[in-house]
Amino acid sequence: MGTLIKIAWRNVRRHKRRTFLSALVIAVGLAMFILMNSIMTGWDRANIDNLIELSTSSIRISTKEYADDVESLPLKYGLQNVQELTTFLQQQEYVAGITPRTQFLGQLSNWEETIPVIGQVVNAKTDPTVFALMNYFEGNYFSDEGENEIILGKGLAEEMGVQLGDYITLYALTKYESRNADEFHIVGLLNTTDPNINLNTIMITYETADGFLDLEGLVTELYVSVERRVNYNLFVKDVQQLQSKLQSRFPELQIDSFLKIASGFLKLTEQKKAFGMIFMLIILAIAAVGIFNSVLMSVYERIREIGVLRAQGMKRGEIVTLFLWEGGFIGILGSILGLIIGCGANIYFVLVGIPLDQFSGFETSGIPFLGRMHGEWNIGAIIFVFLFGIIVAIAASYLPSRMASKLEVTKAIRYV
Amino acid sequence: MKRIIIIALLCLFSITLNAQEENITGEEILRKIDENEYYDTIEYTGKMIIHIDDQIRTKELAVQARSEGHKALVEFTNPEDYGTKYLLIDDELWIYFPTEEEVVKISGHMLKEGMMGSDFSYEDALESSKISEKYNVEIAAQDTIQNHPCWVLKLTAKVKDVPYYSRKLWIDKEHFFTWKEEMYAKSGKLLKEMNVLEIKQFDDRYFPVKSEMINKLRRNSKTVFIMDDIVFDVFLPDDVFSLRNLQH
Repeated sequence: MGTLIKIAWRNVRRHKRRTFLSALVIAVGLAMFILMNSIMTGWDRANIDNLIELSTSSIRISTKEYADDVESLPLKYGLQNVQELTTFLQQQEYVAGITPRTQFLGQLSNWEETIPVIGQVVNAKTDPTVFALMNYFEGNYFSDEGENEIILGKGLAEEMGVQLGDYITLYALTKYESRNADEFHIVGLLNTTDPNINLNTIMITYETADGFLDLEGLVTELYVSVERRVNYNLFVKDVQQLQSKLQSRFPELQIDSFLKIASGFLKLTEQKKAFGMIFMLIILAIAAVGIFNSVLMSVYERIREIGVLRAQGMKRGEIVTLFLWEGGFIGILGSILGLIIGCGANIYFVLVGIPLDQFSGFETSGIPFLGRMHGEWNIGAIIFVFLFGIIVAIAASYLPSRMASKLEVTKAIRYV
Repeated sequence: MKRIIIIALLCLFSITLNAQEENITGEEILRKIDENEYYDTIEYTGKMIIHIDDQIRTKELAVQARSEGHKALVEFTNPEDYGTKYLLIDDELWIYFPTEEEVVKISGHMLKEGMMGSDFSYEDALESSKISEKYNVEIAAQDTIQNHPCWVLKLTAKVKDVPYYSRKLWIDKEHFFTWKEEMYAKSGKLLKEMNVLEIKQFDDRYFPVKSEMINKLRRNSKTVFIMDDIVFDVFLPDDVFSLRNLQH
């Protein structure tokens, strides 16, 4: 066996050009797979990060009654123990931020028309520790002394024909279901790619809402952000652990993670991932055909050599083994080369990213996040594709070498 | 001499009437409105003409109502909504949709929404006459509407769970019905305005038969409500106001 390995390795080294071309075919296929996988995983992760940072946070806490009626955003089921919850959360690992929010239904009026909106009452100091809306602002955030300040989704402002600095009337029901309407000063516009925020959302502070909605400090939801991890599965594990701790400490409350809040979206992402896998399989199949073809050619080129080896007394099985080793070496070389090319290019995608916003039509493309899209490392996929390259190269060597070894020696020697 | 005595008596009577008029309180005016507008039962057909911008939609309806228990059954008869029915019992409202053959209970904030897309909210239409329990009433001024002298009552909420924080009512001094109402938010913003456009006399009762509700948050948004074929105090059996009847 040792002699066969040596001969195989010598053959690989002796036919440098052939070896290089075969390895290159493998490498290109593998590199493409690694990059596509990185981009697709990065795309999904960017979507999920975006969802968590803009809408759901990692964990949402409310009363069970509120959760049952969440679609009507009732102002009658407030959390009674916000301070206790906050203290408990501050003692937990991985908690990056905690903030209360109280959502309500309302209407914006410019005295010409009214548009229904979802109102978010926020704590101006703690909200940015959970939600990354600051990255999407035009204008200012809430000031300390400002009264009746409001932040609108940019699309909503455009629809109402108002701009930064203008005044607009907000109409809503108070906690006691009495109608109220007042004028608010537009201090900021939110320009996210989440259409729900852009087109339907307004934000006011608790200080303002206490008067406007008679809130009296009512908090209906507490949002928690968990530190981001590069590895998504570890991040999910952290979130689930914290959720479980909260649930056992506060069994009377509804504790939902983003996995439940955005289950529809995540299901869609999984479905898209399945389509993505089909695409990746096609890439792998193309790579496999290339590898197969390349190794097949190299075996057919050497049928006369096989005849000589047989004439010198080498057994059929030994010839097949010799070519399998050669295929294996080419596979290893090609896979290493593919890893170098794929991972090298992926470093750029991961660290620098693709500036999607520089492409024309980005704002109307429906891409659910702004700025650059970054690639993701997927170690499992890299190991898989490395082994795939080697196995396909070995498999590609088996059939033609077996067929060639069965040829009569005289025919093999005279083979053109 | 007789003539002088008669003139003096008439003057005294007139002064007494004025004095009585000046001494009347807001609560008494509200009570007199209730007395004028009170009925045991009522039956009428009606129209809601909804104006939104340049569009006009008309809803036709037939209503049967009973004051005791604050009950009403409304059936829409215009082609688009034909067979849709509302049943009100006290503060609860059910809607029957004939296409789905389904009854839906309306509650909470939904009662604040416009009824069938009109400027009358369910709550405006269904509010029971307990205004004095929830509002402080004062006579704010005197005014004239269509040459009729009116009291202007200002209602300010005593409690927080009122549909509107404050209201102004223009009450006919002679016959105690409402000519006009303005509904205000807590901030003082005017939200809605109701104007009575036509009054009819039924025996000794003066009843508004045509009115309009203007939504002040939108431009060109108002609903005109017209009542026809009004019959008071008709016999209405109990099962008229039942969920079973709603689905028939």
